[in-house]
Amino acid sequence: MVSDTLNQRYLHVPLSAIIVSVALHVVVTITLLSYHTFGARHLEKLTDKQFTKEIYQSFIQVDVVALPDEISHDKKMVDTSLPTVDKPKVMEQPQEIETAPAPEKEQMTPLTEARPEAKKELIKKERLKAQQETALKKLRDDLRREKALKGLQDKAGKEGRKRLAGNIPSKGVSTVGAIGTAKERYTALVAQAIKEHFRIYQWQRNKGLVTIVFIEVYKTGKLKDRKVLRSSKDPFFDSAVLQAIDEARLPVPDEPSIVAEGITVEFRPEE
Amino acid sequence: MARLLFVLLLGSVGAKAAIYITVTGADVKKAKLAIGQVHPLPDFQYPDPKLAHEIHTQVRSDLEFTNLFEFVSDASFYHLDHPKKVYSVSFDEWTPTGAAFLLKLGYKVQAGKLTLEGLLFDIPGRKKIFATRYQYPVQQYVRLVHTLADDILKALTGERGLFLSRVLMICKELRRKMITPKEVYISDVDGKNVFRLTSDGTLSLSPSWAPDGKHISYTQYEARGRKRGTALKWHNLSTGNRKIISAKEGMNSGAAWAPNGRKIAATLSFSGRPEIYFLNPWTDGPPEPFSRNIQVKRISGEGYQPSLASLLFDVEPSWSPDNTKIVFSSARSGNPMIYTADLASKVAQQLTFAGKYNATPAWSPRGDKILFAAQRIVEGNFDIYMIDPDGNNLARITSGDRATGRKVNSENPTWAPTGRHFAFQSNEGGNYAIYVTTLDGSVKRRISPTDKECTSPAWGPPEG
Repeated sequence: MVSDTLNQRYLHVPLSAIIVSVALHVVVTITLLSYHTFGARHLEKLTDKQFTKEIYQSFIQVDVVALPDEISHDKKMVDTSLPTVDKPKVMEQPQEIETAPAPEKEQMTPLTEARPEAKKELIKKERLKAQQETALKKLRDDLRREKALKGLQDKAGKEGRKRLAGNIPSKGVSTVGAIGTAKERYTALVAQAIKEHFRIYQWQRNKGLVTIVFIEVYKTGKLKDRKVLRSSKDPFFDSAVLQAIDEARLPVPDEPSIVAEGITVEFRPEE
Repeated sequence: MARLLFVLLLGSVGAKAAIYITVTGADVKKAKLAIGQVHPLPDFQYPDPKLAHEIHTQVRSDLEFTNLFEFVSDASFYHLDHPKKVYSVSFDEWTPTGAAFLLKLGYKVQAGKLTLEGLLFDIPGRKKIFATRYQYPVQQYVRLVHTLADDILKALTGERGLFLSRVLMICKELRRKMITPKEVYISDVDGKNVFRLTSDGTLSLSPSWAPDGKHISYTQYEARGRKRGTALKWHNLSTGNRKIISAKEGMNSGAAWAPNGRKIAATLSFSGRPEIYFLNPWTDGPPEPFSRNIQVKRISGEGYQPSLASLLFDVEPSWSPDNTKIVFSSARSGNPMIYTADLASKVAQQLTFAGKYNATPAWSPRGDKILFAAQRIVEGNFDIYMIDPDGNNLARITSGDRATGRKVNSENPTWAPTGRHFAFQSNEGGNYAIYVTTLDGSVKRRISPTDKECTSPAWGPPEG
């Protein structure tokens, strides 16, 4: 009786409903199968969480999602500690180190002969390039000096007179009168000449470095002696300062008495 | 004062007084450096030219990255760089090469250990600057070279830590998955030795360094009962131990450790609005509110604008190196803008007034600059900008609108410990990646792995 009723019921199910039902079953089955096949990596990743819990559970209260136990073999993937990377062992200075300042001891001739031709050519080119660069630099320096002098004279023509009004007998053509005293003019030229060669390394900027140097010059304007009065405590900055003085083409003073007491120059990297 | 007196004294002596000149405005040049070949040390019988070449390339690459050196052509000192003269230098012969500094290198490999000897000379000064022998497993010669490069920088500039510091970042796999977790990664500054630090399968964000370089913190999403919340976590790098610093309702993120390591400034929103609080990672005291207690100087310069609880939106704090100030971004006056606040007086100053969105400020380790990301109204992309802590000298550092023809975002700047470089995230290659660069942009390198999308870099302190 019961089975008859059931049979009756099945008999009355429309065909379209059966097709829809079968199709739905197939889709659900395929979805589940593909999720377990292709989503396995994702599940493995999630198991990491369980191990992480073990690591820090003594410190914190962690509410993590319960995860399947069967994929726990991936525990070893998780390492929350930083791999140890030691700093390389730094040893003392090599015992054998010595500097050999005496050039005559160096026997470079055999090595030069053994060098391939191509290298020789390259070195020649390098030297030639260096020579040309030096010559160009000199030319540029001269040009800059001329420009600076001209600028100074122009400036003197505009501003110098105003400042010294009353002290100048006539407007005349003498730049000495126009710029002020001979000492002022000499000071400006020396500052300009040194500044042109004042070059520092990038890392020396914005560190508040100050070096003060005392310079003695001959009556001809040529450098006689220079010594550091106050060091910046950066030896490379002090060297840069001394190099600027050595390379500067100092002007000839109009009156020898101007330079009798020497020149004190304070160097600062920033304006 | 003493100098002023000195100058006045000089001035008063009369016409014959010594001349006093102040020379300023020096031209800046790069240091000319000659890097000799990596020669086998005298007692090394079986040289490995490939390894020697790799070491040489790595040394040059490291020093190039500093942007402080100009390299003397190898050909100009080929005849001087004799394998048997690792230890000796004839300064007279080296002077014509134009090199200001000379680096001589010798190596040997014994029982899997690489020994590298580095000697640095000052050619015009005619003296040796340093000579050091390093030892390390040969497979990790890169780290050894980083140490040498760090020592060279220290000897010349007095700064340390560019190569031996590391960068934290948040990365996710590029492969598409149903859920893509974001994990915390750590990398050397050149993108080598990348390690994953977390495997929590959740979202991690805003990593930061403790000043000791041994602890880090980050925020992670966690399931909390039926809800998901954020937790600010403290992570010991050597043991892997972790603990929760703050897991209040809402945001617990954007942590920034004070340079003295005593406090963490972080954004919490349990009050209903995102506010900056101070947390003490060493004791478990309650968070100390900060940004609700500050008052902002009015733009007119007169008077102060007190903080209104209903308008608070203060995030992303970053400390000044002297621990006395904080820079943060706040939307309390409309669009997010950058503010600095003095901790003692609790007075804040608004630094930026333009742009659509100004965020992620980072105070330089020297204290003189602040980097931040800003979105301009017209272009619409984010770029990195730099400003002085007093609001002067605003300058754009990156130019994403021109880089590739399409709009590129550059965000989340973080300073290198030397203050000459910074790291940031950018999508100039399509996906977000971490780049390190100099302030003038002359050297730029991608450091995050190519198979991951990475954001939120945090450059750590120098190691050791």
